[in-house]
Parts: sequence; structure tokens; C-alpha cells
Amino acid sequence: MEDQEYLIPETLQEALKLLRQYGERARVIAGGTSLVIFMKQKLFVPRVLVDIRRLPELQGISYQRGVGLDVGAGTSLFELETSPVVRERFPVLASMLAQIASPRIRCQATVGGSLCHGEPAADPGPPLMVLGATAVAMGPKGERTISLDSFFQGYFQTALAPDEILVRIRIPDLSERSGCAYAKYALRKALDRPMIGVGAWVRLDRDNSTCAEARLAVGAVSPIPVRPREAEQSLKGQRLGEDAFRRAAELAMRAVEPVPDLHASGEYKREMVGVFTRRALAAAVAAIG
Amino acid sequence: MRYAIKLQVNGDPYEVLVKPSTTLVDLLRDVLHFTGTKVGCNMGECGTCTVLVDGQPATACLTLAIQCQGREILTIEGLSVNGGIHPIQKAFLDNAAYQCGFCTPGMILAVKALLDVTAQPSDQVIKEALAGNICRCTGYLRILDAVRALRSPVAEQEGAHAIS
Repeated sequence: MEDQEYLIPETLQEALKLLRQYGERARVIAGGTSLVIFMKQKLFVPRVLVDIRRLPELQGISYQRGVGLDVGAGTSLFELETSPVVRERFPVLASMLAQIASPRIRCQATVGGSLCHGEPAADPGPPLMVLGATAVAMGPKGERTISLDSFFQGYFQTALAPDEILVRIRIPDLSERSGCAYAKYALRKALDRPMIGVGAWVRLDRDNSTCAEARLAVGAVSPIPVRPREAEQSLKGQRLGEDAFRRAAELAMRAVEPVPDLHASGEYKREMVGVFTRRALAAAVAAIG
Repeated sequence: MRYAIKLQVNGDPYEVLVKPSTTLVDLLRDVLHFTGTKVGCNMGECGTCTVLVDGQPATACLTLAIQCQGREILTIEGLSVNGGIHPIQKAFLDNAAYQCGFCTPGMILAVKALLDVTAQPSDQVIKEALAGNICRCTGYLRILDAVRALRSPVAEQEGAHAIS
């Protein structure tokens, strides 16, 4: 691509202007670890690359007790993983991030890029969904907040419009008596995408033994992560133990339609959705602080 | 389009013209002739192209050269101290932590990135830091031995105590 252009705007407004100006020919690039592979394989070669990695509006991690975590979309996965406040308040995110790719990829790849790529077999979606995270996007009409539940739209597709940029990710603080976990099934410990990734979040009732609310998200088995609502409902009012986990796992297995691939059949993946749903739920209960 | 960028490689300043799609590893090898950095998979998976960008490990095959404007790159050629080898290189030699040597430059730079921030890494931390740097002939145990040998004496003692 001799005529490929590379533009480095200095502000978010400048970046948005470039996206409007170049329309479909332009694509934003941040860490580039996914897009550069697409470019090498000639799967997708944007005519104009707009580099947003260092835009000041996309930087920084802040935390406010009772409100939550606010993460700039340009934050590297490594920066988020090693952030003291993330390690203390959201250990589920730190451990999930540590399971992505390799340390050097995590130094390059950004939180926003990972979400915007819309790769089905990605780790961050499920845990962020069950934590109730929202994406803050900026476009020509101003700012818009998108629940992570509706952010993923299809295979490599998100709710972002072509002229919008993901600016921040907001994660509400974990309420009292709640816990969250992520259970990943991959064949290798490093540099492997999840075959299945289950995020689980549970909140106990005031009695500290029955479940007031539960959220589950099953990633990597279909084009977008699935919230198995019946499985979530089944946990409500239950004592959180093996029996309740087993019932929820069976409902989660019915809620997914796993895509078979070279690693495993759909049937096997469905079975593993059950296993990893149980593990994620048990770990979420154990994580209640 | 071609763009003029300035960057530092192993302490020396360079100004080069790059296309947006030129990767850092292609710039290093084909233009600047730092061929110590190897290309294995060219897809970010094998780790042999690992270099340090502003002190952090980076996959040079997935880093666009244009993203390195104003940054400091360290390749294996930049490790030599007064013409001699770097202590990490010596540890790899002493422990026979290489056979064909193709993964070695990436391994050594990944180890440097680790030791620069963690003087006494536990075995687990070493393994995590080298996750994604793939070796197909030496085996990882000798590489682990080399890094263990670089830990400060205090860590060695603690390690010995923990095992006994």
C-alpha cells in the first residue's frame, strides 16, 4: 500500500475530525497488535490510519470508592494489570489480564483496542460485562455511554459508529457482599485465546448466605459473549453451593450454541461451558470480600 | 506515503523514512542492519523479535516503525558492555541456555526487561516474564537456570531456604 497514510492527531477533537474527513477509508489504531496482523494478512488494510494511542483524553486510571474505576481506552493491558488500585479493588481484572497473550503484547495492546477489535475469542468482555461496565464513546454528536452488554454486536463488530472513538471504560465499584471471577479454558498458559471464558458476579443477601443477584457471561463460544439469563435467575434466592452451581451450569449450557472449530466440537465446548460456569461461580463466591 | 521519523537505537540517533506499514523489525533488520533481532512467526506469537522500546518489551514484528517516533529502542547489539558481553549473555553461556540460538536475542531482552524492574524474581515470576518467548530446542530449564544465576545472592539464599 504505497499510498497508505498515517496521521497522528494531538487531541480527541482532531482525531474525530479526521475520521469525519476520511470516512470509510480511515481506521483508528492504538497498540496495533491486532490490526497490524490483519494488515499483514491483507485481511483489512485501511487507507488512512489515525493513531490515537497517546491522545491525552484516552489516558489514566482513576478510582473512587463507591463509584468505581475509570480507565482510559488508551491504557495498555499491562498498565491496567499492574495498577495498584486494580490489584486491590478488582483482582479479577488483574488476573484476567495476566492471562492475555504475553507480557510484551500486554505492554503494547490497549484496553480500548481489545474491546473495539470485537474478536470473539477475547478475555476482557465477559468479566467486564458481569461487573456492569460501560463504554464511553465520543462522536460528532458528543458523548454516548454504551453498556458492555450491548457493545459487542457480532463477529468483529461493535456498537461503535465509524466516526466514534471509544474514550473510557467505567466499571462500577463492587458492592458489599459481592464477588467476581473469571474462569478461562485455554490449552496453553500463555499466548492462547480462550476456548471458553466465563465471567461470574454474585451478590449475597443481607443474611450473607443466599444469593440476591447473579450475573454470568460466557465468552468465546459464539460471535459475541452470551449472558445466560435463565442461569442467572436460577441462582436468585438460592444458597450458593454445588447444587445451585450445577443447576445454573446446566442452564448456561442450554443458553449457548458453541461454534465447533479445530480445537473441539460444539458438543465438547457445551460440556466445558458447564464446567467453567461452575468454576467461575465457585471462585466468585470465594472472592466475596 | 513515506514519513520521516527520528528514533534512538542502542543509544544512537537515527532519522529514517518509513511507510506506515513498515514494522519495527523490518526497519531494524533491513534498513538499519541490526540483524541480531530475528523474525520467527512474524505474527507476534514466538517472541524472537522481542526488543525493548523505552525499556518495555515489545514485539517488533507487530510494532509499526512509525509508532517508534521519538522512542528508544534496545536490541541485542546494544547490550554489549565495553565490547564485551553483557552479564545476561554470560549467564546464558555459562548455563548452556541455547542451542540454535534463534530465540536467544528475544529471550535475553525479555530477561533484561524483567531484571531491570525485579532484581530477585521468583521462579514463577521468571516463567511469567518469559511466557510467549518460545524455544524449540534448548528446553526451558536451562534458560530458567541462567536467569536464576542472575538473581541477587539474597534471593538465592531465600530460594535455598524455601526448598530445604
